[in-house]
Amino acid sequence: MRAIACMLVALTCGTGCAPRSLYDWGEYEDSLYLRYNSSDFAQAETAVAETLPTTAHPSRVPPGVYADYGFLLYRRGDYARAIQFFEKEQTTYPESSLLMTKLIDRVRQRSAGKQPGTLNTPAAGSTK
Amino acid sequence: MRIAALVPLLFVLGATLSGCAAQKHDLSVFYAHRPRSIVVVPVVNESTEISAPTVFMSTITTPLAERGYYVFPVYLTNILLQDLGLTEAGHVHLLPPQRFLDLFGADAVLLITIKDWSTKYLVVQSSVVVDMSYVLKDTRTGLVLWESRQPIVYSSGGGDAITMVVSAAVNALMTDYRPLAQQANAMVFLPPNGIPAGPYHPEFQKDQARF
Repeated sequence: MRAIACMLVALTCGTGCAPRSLYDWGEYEDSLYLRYNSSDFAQAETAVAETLPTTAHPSRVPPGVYADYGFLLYRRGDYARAIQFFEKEQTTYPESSLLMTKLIDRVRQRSAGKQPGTLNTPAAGSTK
Repeated sequence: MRIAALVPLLFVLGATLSGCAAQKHDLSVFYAHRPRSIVVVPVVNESTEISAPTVFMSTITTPLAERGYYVFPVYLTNILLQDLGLTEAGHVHLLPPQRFLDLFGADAVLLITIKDWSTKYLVVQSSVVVDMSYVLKDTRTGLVLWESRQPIVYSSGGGDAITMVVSAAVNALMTDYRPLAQQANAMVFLPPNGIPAGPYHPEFQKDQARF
């Protein structure tokens, strides 16, 4: 009985008292885990995408998540939306400005048909 | 996966959990430079478990960002370094810290080394260990802003016969180190031995008494 009470406390804490959390993390960590450990990019992208709409206010989107999603879009050849998300990262977090500017330049070059020799990713459209 | 968030708590309830903090450290250099943004570069792995760095890297962003810092996306960071031919974490750690200012615009770089990541099987119990060292360097001066060490030890099988059988069965298949890494990272950045709250945290510049 006491064990059950303890479990209940744990459950409540797990959902409710993640205290004063600054951000809504959604499935972001799972997305990273999938990419790093099973190279499952399709599922990783879904997991990050699900992190984004659940956040009501842009300030609740954690650092790096817009950029990370932008990279996943870039990876499968969606250059226009990749740039949009790099710009969102830049607007939300000015600390990322230098890196986002570099990335946006690279993606623009690539979408213009030039090969700047960047972002060692598999050809667009390849799955996994 | 809410269940993933629960696992560390269950560890606390059901297991002997020991976390040792590093010695008291001097934060005067930290306060003199006050980074806003931190880039976490690939970790050096001194353990024999080859999957340790990738499991670890998926657990570092949340606790660090929740301290109020801008944390560069770790996977993207890894890819960009690979583009530069930096595929070895050991080489990345030896770069002058100023390089991370040039490449990322990061105020500070966090260099993490996995010291231990192992499961030790004993007669009636087993113990799982993860142990990391953390060094935060200023990218403009190269100075060490903060450093710490965070081991987490989980021992199973100390209790009754049923617990022993169950935990032995679980551990014999494959150890899931992810909750231990999450636990270590959840602890290491907090007061009194962690890093002061960053600019996105409500306690920014108000928590000096806690260190």
